Amino acid sequence: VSAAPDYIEPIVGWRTWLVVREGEGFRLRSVVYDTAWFPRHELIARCLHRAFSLPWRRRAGHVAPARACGCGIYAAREPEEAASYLEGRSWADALSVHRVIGTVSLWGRVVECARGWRGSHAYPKRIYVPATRAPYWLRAERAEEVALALTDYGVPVELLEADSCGPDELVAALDAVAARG
Amino acid sequence: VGTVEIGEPERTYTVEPLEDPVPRERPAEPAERPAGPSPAEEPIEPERVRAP
Repeated sequence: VSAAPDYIEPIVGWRTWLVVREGEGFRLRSVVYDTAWFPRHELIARCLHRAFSLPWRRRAGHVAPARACGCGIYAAREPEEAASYLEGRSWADALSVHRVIGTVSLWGRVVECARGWRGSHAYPKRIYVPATRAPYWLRAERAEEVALALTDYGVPVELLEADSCGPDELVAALDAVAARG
Repeated sequence: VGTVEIGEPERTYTVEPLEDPVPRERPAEPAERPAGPSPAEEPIEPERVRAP
């Protein structure tokens, strides 16, 4: 007999993703870790701390996310936290063509934190593609082309009109979208 | 860059959505066929043979 779940609706938070060209299309990847988000398949967390630890400091593996570890798929409660990742360097800048922000559904095992969540399962819920040019260090593609390709994920994709690609301007643009309803 | 700052953990719970959050690929619909038996299913007329 399994225990009843605590909630029956996914938790919805905010994330920033890299957009990477793969073959003829574009795919989402995480900004911090080398993790691909595949269209129409949930991402399932595993603890990477063990993999990145020195062999003699490794502890036994555990189910992700664990409260006492930093593992799991992250989502921020407020878009401002996620938007800070629209700028700054990433491991995959050489591969990236753009960065996008959006909401993400989390479910399964979830650790709630003061300003966000860490979940065991995740999938994008809505994707906003900044219509402004990507940061200069990325091999920029046309935002419209990126937005069209990301419809492969089967979730709403919107172009986000803003005066620049800075986090503050994009959060203001998100507020304007929310106000429009 | 490091992981997004979401603060200290406060509680842990389980979430089992009633609806699938993933818009999965639907299996392709089979092509419509006209009503009636397929050629393989059509009855075969018995062959007339001459009585000895």
